[in-house]
Amino acid sequence: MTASSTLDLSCQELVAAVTDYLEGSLPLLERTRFETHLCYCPPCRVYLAQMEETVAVAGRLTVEALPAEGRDRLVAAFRGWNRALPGRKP
Amino acid sequence: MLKGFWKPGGKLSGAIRPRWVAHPGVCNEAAAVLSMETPWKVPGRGLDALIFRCRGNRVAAVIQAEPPPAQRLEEEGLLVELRSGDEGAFLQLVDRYNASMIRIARAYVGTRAAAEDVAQDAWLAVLNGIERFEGRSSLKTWLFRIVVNSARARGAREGRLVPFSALETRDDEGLAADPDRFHDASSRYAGNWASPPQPWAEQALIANETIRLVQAEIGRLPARQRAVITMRDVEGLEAREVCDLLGVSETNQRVLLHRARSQVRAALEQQLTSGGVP
Repeated sequence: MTASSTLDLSCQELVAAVTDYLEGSLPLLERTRFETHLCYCPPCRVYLAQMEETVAVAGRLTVEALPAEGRDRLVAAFRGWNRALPGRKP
Repeated sequence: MLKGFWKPGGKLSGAIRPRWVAHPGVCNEAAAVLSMETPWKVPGRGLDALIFRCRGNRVAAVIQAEPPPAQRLEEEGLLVELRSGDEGAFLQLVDRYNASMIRIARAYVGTRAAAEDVAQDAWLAVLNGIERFEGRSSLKTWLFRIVVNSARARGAREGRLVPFSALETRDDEGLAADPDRFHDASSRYAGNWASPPQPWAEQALIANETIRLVQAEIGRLPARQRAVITMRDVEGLEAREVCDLLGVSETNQRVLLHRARSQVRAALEQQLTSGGVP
């Protein structure tokens, strides 16, 4: 075993650790191995970027319209609540 | 050095006097007298940040006003309108959060229909509790806490007493990444990419189609993974908030998040890599 092999991380290991890395929860040595691997491995850089892109797309989900029936029930509930508020005119 | 935040109007601001401050809680040296270094003002928001220095000019504390994010300000407006009985404000909140609330509830109850009921109940609880909401958490976190509590109660009635933190179910098993993508152990390249990921076109990522795909894929995830990715990535809560709401350890939260994200990434890859938009 050479000194460099202790730093060696396989692509598969990097993929398994990617969330821990993004969450900032890797211990220093692990983080160093992770980042060292990224330096010489373009496909893993692509993978990491894709994980970040995935998070970004998830943050842009559109509003899903509530089915009319559920909406009507909520509106009715709201009106009932509103009438019951102190200081409201019946 | 202590770093912290106070919410505008929050507790700490009352302890701060304009020029000199005696505030033992802020510095380890008991009853140290702290000076306040050029606080700067933001129009309409009062003090934005305070730097406390001990005698000897060592920085003892930096206390910043918590920046109200745009969304938070908007929510504050909605809250005021809601409390005054504005139906439009209520429906805006419902449209904004109902889908996430259903996704979260689904982690505790057996069916989608039950999760929808839970969300409905939660909205009633929101109305009944709105006067008690003090803004110590964001409105969003408060809504999710209500939905988790309603869903837990409902799940218990259904006889689903499995705690959220019980990870080892069939649902949550499975590798985050397909082992076939890597060279196997017999290869001198064992563990390295056999079929490496190809970069995605930026254009495709912002397409509505892509967003719908992610939405659908999140809907297909095992329930607990779906709850975690909804809170973290769709709604942007902090990890510690999610652990607190769901009652899971940090490690379990990360495991669930990892599997969820990996799964959604794989779905995106399938859509986005074979020749652009297949």
